[in-house]
Amino acid sequence: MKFTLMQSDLQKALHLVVSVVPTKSTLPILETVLLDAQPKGGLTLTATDLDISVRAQHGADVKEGGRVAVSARRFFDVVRELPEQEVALEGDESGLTLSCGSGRYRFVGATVEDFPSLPEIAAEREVGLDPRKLERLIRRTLYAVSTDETRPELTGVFLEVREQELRMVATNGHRLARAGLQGNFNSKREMLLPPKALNQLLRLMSDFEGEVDVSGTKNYARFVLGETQLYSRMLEGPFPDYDRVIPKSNPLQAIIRRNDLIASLRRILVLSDSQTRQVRMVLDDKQLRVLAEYQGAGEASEEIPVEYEGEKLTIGYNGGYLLEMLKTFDGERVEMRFQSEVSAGTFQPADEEPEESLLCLIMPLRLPEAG
Amino acid sequence: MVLWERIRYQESAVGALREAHAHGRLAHAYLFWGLAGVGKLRAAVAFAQTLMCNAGGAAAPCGQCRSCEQVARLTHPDLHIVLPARRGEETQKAIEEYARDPYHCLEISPGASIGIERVRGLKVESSKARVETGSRVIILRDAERMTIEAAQAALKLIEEPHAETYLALTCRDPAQLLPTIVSRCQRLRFRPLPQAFIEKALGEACEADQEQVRLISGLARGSLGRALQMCGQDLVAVRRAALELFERPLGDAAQVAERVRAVERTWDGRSARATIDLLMSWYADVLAVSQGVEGGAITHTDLRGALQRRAQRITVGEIRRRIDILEELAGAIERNVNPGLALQEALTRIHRIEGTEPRQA
Repeated sequence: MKFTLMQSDLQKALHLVVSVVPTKSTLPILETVLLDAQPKGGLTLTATDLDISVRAQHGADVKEGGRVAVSARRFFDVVRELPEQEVALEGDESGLTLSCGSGRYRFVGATVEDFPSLPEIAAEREVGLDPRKLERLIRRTLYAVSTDETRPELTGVFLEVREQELRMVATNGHRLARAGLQGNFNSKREMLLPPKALNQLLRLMSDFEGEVDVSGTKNYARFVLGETQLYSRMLEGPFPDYDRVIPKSNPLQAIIRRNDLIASLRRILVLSDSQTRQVRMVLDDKQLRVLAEYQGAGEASEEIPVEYEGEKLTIGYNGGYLLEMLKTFDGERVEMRFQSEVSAGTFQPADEEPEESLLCLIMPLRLPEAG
Repeated sequence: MVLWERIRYQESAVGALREAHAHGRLAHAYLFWGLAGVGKLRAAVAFAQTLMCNAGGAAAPCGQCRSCEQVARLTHPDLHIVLPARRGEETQKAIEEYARDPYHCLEISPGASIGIERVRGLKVESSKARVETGSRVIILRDAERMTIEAAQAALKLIEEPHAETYLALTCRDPAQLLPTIVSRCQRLRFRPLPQAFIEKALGEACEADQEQVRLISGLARGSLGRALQMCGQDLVAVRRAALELFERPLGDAAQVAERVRAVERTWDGRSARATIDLLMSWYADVLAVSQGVEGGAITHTDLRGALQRRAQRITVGEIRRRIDILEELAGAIERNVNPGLALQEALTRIHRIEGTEPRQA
């Protein structure tokens, strides 16, 4: 292979892929970046840790096509220290030589055939999404995943594309977040995505304008961001039938100002049990009392005005879950719905953008009898 | 290349696997058991090649597709090999060497184990989709070295199979595994290799003269792995030292300490095992000679005279006691007991029984 391009372009493309490269791996090939130069397609860089792979393309003046895999870390460390001028690269199976100005840098090549192959997925656009909206869907669900590896299907975020709606759902068995986006998707697809892939996607989307295309195979999801592609190996499901656990009608409705509740919880949680983070919520006529106590530390209570006209209800929650959830909400007001002190409460922003939806569910904690 | 071609004299196990594959009757978990160094791990990798070959069906393994080659290089991303290791010990280099050299024998450090976190890692991996389109194969070498927690986690892995995921466990003796694991695996026995084959393989793999090769292949008792490990050593010298250490009469307790001190510097796990192997075969020979056995059953044919003299002055019971002591010494070395201390203990016990034996001339 033989090609030239500007140092800044090479650095930019490398920067996109190197963050995937694992620092230590059982497969040495994963510590490399694959350079694939084609006379028509320019330069394609790929890095993978087997869970996620990033592929970045950039135009280059390719005189001779070819593929070579070299140490990603070393190659990137040299490239980013080079002056901004044209760099010439020449490689074969044994390695890659980079020339820039008076400098010559030779990188030993790894066995290209060992570099994991990525699935072939049709180039046509499948589901186009506004990156800001996708970002919101991810931020509204990702926090709710389980970290318990004995139930691996709950450690991922479930992405479901339907004709008119795209949903992301995450749950750890005690809480659930379901974010939706209306639109004409005209597609049907289910994916169970590991958090690592979504964090990488957030990183790649942070300064990306244009549409993100979502597609995949049985085993892989692919996100295309212009010249950059992110592939993620999916978790093996099945993801639980989440709609079944969401109560259809919780009769007791309360509306509260989001910032009031967040501020209260931040103070109250200081004096809650550091393990359970239990807070007691007492809903009564037009007011919500939030209480916590932690033996040996102290106790706290606050009253917050609330729109509520039902019977008195005392219910216990993990205050940490409430706080994490409320931070992903937008708008001023939050709608809370309950049935009893032992059944799941649902929470949603009261003033939501028309095409967006968010519903969260938290299971209550059993409160001690006394007090 | 087709890796099955490298597995020799294991027709029954290999045949059963290939047959099951050809007829689509594969179990999802196999236990390859038998003596160390007879090809269990190589067979597990060859099995993986069959399962992961892109050609699929009866044509697998073709030995030529990308998957076959990746398995042969042990770089296939869906092939997971777990070896016992000590804390912080790297196994990657050893695996690379094993893939490169068909005669390389993976040595496992004494006291190495397979911990819970390694098995957990496999469970996490199994919960993900496969990297490539073929099967996923997990190989647990020396499964008896799993800690209790690891074995219990492995049991879950075997009990709840994932689609297209196959497990191959290797071990020396199924009795050392949890019975619940053994009962969930299809068992395949790997047999000791013929001495003539080991002699031939030694001739190809290392430079040793005829006398050494004969001695080694006799000592290896059907294990090519053990034979290859002995290859680099001057066994005649090791035997001389071993007999000096254990067979020269001990005068008093002070002499025991002195003898230990003399070898302590060079006495490590590896030389201890070589010495123990030699002495075991020596006593086996003494026993055989004392019972009037002749010919092929004798390993130390070059020392026939010495064997006969020894056999006349020792009873069967005394040989047994010495073998017991050696077995316990081997166990202690395996459990990572300080080799010097273990040797001192063994020699002290020999010194104690010597008082009851007739003195050597």
